[in-house]
Amino acid sequence: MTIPTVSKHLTLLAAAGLLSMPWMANAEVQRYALDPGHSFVTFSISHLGFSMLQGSFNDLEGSFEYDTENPAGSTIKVVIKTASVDTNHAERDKHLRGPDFLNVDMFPEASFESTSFVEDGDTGVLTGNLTLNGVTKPVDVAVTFVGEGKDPWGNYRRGYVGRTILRRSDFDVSYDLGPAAEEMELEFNIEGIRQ
Amino acid sequence: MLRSTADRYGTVARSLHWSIALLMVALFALGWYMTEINYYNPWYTRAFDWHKGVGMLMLGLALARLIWSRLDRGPALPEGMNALERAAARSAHFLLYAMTLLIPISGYFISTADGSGIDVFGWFEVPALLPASNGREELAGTLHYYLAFGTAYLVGLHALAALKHQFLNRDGTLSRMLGRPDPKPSRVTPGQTNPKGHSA
Repeated sequence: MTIPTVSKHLTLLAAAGLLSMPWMANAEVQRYALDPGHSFVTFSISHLGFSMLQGSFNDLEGSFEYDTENPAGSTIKVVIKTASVDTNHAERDKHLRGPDFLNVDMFPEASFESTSFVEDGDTGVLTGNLTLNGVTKPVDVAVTFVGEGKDPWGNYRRGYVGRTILRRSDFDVSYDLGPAAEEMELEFNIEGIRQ
Repeated sequence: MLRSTADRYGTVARSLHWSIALLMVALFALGWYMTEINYYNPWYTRAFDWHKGVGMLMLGLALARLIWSRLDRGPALPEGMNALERAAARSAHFLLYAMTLLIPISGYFISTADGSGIDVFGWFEVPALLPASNGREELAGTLHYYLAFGTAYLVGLHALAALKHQFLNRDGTLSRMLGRPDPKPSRVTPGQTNPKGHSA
C-alpha cells in the first residue's frame, strides 16, 4: 500500500464535492407542512346579490414543496374535512353539510392537489385538481407570495394566499341560491413550517 | 273545574293536553315542510322562525304540564285493563311526556349551537346555555329528527288506543279528556234512561 499522493487527495475531495452536489440540489426543494393554526380555507358567496357571505373550513391539513431552483416544480396538497364548514350560523351549517350542498356523510373530505405552477415574481398561477362533493375538476388558483423567513421560535415559515372562482354546478352543488350565487370564491391562506 | 276528578280531567289538564297535542302536530308538519321547501319560497325564513318560536312556547307549556301533572294526578286508568295493558299505557304516557320536553330541547340545541339565542316572535329571546360549538347542531339535529318521527308513531298509537278504549271498550277514556264524565252505565245518574236498559 502506497502513501496517497496529494493528487489522490484532490481527487477524493473532488469526488466528495461531486457527491455532495445532488444533496445540495435536494436542499433547494424546501418541504413545508401546513400550520393549521395559521392556514385558512375560506369561501365567499353572494347572498341574493345583497352581501357577501363568508364561511370557512376549520379542519384542514396539507403540505407543500417549494423548489427554489425550479419554481415550476413546486407542489401543494391541501385536504379539508367538509363537516368543519362554519358560517357562524348553526342551522345554515347543518344545511350546508346535508345533501343539498356538501354531502359530508358521503364525501367527508375535499382536496386540492396541484399539477403545475407558473411563477411570475411574487405571484403565480397554480393549476391543480379540486375534489369537492365527490367531483374532481381542474382549477387555476391565482397565488400571491406573502412572506418567508425565520419565526421567533426557531422555525422557518413560508406563506401564500391563493384565490379561485368556482362555478357550484361544476361540482354538482346546484341548490338554487339565485343567479348571483352560481359562482363563489374560494380562498386559501396558507402558512407552512419548513420540515 | 280546574282540577281533575275521579272520572274526568280538569280544565287545566285538558287545556294543556290539547294545546300541546295541537302544537306538536302543527310543529311536526311545519318542520317537515320547512326542510323540503326551497330558498326562494316566500315562507322559507318565516317557516323556520315560527317553528323555533312555537317550539319554545310548546316547551314552556310542556314544563307547565309536567309540574301540573305532579299537583293534579288525574283519574285512574279505566278498570278492566290487565297488568300488561296498564304497563303499556303508563310507559307510553311517560314517553309522550318525555318527548314533549326532549324534542323541543333537541331543537333548541340545533339553533343555539352557534352561541346565539332563539328569538320568540320578537317577544323575548331564549338564551343559549352552552358556548358555541361548531358541529353540535348535527348531533342535536339527528336526535330532533328521530325523536320527532318516533313520537309521531307514538302519538298515532296513543290516539288509536284512546279510540279503542272509547268505542270498543266503552270505558270513557276519550270522554274524560274531553271534559265529559265517564258514561259508564254504573255512573248514569238516577232519572236518566239507561241506553242498555229495559225496553218498552
